[in-house]
Amino acid sequence: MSRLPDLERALFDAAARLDAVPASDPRPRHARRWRRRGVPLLAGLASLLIAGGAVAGVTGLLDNGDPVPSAPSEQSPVVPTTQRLVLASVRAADPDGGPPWGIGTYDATARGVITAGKESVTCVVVGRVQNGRLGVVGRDDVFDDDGRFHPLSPTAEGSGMCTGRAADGAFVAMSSGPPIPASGFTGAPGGAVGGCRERVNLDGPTVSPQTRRKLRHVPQCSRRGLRDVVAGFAGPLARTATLTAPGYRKSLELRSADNGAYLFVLRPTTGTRPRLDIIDRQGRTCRDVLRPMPDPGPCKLR
Amino acid sequence: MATPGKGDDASLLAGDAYSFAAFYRRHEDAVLGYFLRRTGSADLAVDLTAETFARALEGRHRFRAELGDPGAWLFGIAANLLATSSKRGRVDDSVRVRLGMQPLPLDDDALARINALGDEPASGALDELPDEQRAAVVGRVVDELTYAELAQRMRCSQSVVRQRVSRGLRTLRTLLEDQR
Repeated sequence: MSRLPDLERALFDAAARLDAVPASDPRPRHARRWRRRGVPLLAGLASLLIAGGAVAGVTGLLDNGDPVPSAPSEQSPVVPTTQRLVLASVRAADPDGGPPWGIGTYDATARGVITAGKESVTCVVVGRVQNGRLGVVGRDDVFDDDGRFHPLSPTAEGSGMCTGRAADGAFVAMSSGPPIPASGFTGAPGGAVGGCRERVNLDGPTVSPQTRRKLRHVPQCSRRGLRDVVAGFAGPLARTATLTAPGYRKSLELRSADNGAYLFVLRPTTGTRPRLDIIDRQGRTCRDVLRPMPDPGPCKLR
Repeated sequence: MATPGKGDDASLLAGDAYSFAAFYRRHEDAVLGYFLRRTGSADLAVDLTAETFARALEGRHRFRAELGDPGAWLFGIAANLLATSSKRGRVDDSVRVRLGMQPLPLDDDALARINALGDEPASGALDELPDEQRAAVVGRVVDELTYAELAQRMRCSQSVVRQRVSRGLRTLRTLLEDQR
């Protein structure tokens, strides 16, 4: 047991991603989870009010608002090569209602440093879905609580995970992260979009003076306004995904055409990390694939 | 798959993700303690340690055993990072971003575990080293001298210095692990 198991896990995950493809293989070597932001904190929510709730109540749809603005390109380790987000078919309801959650991808070029030159990657984005588009909801300090639906684009400010595709187009991207705001906005709080900061004590010993100054005016996220969003692509060889958490258990049948996209949305769990099991098309189970050092076992997803 | 905790450092660096995790566990205390003593801040020590190991991970295939001990190589990364971070007034996270590593959540328990790494155990372990090894480790890790400078100071060849640093770090690690 190390003193910092989270760091050990993060290093293990990064090493596993680097090792996922043999050096002689022309496919991209590394996956990245990233966030376009200046400070390592969540963007998100501070209250549960949805200003546009009345609109949704009548039409079932939110009014459309401005798109989520693009992030400064220098903040991103990838450069999108398309303007289009491709949505997978899987959806998950939000515990508070409103537009369901979805997961999409876009193609990009990574600013490769580990390997020489540029490389092609596919990046994963989650958010709320309306009229077949991925976006964020203006609530809880995002877009001044305007209650509108704000579409996302590949260049929009936010977080994501990028990795390479196999030669046959198969795509596997599984990772876990901290809870995200129910608005779906995962960019930096306190900027043009607004948002709230993680529930940390700004006067605590783990916060640098620089971060303290930057976030002093940003409201703190409400715990009820955060979501554990467990989402990714288990690949075309995956058949079923099952998420287990305290008081929660749900299984999804996965589609090969969607590269085994899975998506679960729940209120943040306390103390216990959600567990994700994947069953492949041969009926073999990949157990607890999000744990710090998963045992690959007999199952085959790549 | 490598078995965590087995194998020498160079083998661990050349191995898979499990091997690198074992390499991390093996050197975690030493690196955290180094930064804790230099900065006096547990959260800064964690930030610096995370970036140091991320750089080690990214550059592990560039490590050459003939150029020195993996522990000394790691401390070279740590010292460089500390120097550039002090100069810029912030801890660089560029490699962590490239590797897709998330910021670490730190709670009171983690901070307590790090603060427990205060000076005393490392200093005590350092005192237990043979004189020549202690001088070599202090010169390389604490005073941040190059091998050439150390060789001049200790009046011996660079290869002898490298050997003393390597043996000293290995002994230190064993002593610190025994104290945990």
